[in-house]
Amino acid sequence: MSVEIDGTYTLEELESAILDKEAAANELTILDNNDDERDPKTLATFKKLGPGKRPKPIHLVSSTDPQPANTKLVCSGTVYTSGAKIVVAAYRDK
Amino acid sequence: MKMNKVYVQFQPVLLLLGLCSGLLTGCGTVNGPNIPKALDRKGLISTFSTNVFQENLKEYREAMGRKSSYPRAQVLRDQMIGSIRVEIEMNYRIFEQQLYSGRATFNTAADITELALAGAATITHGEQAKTIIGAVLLATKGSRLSYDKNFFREKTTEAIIASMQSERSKKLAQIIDSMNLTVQAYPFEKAWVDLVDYFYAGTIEGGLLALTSEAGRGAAASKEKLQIVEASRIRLLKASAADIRATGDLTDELGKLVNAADQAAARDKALAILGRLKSDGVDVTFDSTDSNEQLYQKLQDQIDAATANSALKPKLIRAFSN
Repeated sequence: MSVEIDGTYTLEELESAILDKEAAANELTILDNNDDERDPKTLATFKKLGPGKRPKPIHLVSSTDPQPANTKLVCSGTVYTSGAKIVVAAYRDK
Repeated sequence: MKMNKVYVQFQPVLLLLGLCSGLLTGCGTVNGPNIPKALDRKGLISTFSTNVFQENLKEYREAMGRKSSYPRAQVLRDQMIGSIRVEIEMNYRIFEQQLYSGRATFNTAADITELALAGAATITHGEQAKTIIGAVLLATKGSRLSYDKNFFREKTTEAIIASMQSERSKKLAQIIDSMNLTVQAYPFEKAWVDLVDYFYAGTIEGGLLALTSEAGRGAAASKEKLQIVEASRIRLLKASAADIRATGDLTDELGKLVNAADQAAARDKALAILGRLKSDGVDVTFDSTDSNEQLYQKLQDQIDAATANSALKPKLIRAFSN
């Protein structure tokens, strides 16, 4: 299931939107963008978990930042934050 | 003696060609800023190695062997599609840039050579030299025409790139559309074929094939199709720490029902929550013939929908807490 997130969100707001979606029994698998600077959107694909299931917390960091401790890479992709494209990596707690 | 005469005749030509080659080599190729390391196709983050791909594919095929592992297979399918797409995108961008600069350099060199030869023919003295220069000029023009005809079918770079972009948008829209399907309906093998099509849509051959009188209309139509696919997507809302906690609490409460030892009581509770949601105006359909799993899934779907509908979350909190 692919959803879109406002491309003007900051990285923290983008992460929060993803955390909220994951708290509803979904797991992030792909990060992408709509490649439209006039109407920028981050596109995130989630896998549905079973009812009542929650994945471990996820952390979204700029690809130039180091990997948080005790995490594993979930995916990386180019997203829009504050209206501009950046490459981010999503790490999940081990 | 004869050699000296020919050399004197060609002296202005050599001077002009020397000047032109200096002009050509003096031209730097500035096509854009440096590629960030994270976007570099040689960068670790963007490389989908053969080993990782093979591991993912093996795990995917194993997961497809058991119905209970279909959700895992879907994650792997989506991951592989995403990773292959990143590589296709990166290579395409570089190819597009090289196509622009490579052809522009060739055309500029050909222009300068033609001008130089034409100029040289005018200022050269000997008839023999004029004839030779004329023949070389003709050959240069012919080679250029042949290059344009054979490699680019006399189409401009812009037209070919517009055509490639149009075809790529169409193929990408198909892939994004299909990723909403289950892994049984859209297995990775089908996605693989679509990714191959997507890749070839970004080649000169693909661009030329699609380049018909409809290209302009096609580009707009496929962009529109992509926009329709995107418009049908759910839009996530901004979420505060309290929102995330509330969503998690609702899922955890549902988890308690799913894992309850007394499933009859859990079922009654799920039916009661769904009933309260319905009376609160939430668009949810259920009946007493639904299995427990169906009831739990309907509740989870409502919690999920609340991530894109701010009015729904308070209703869920009320329904769960009563």
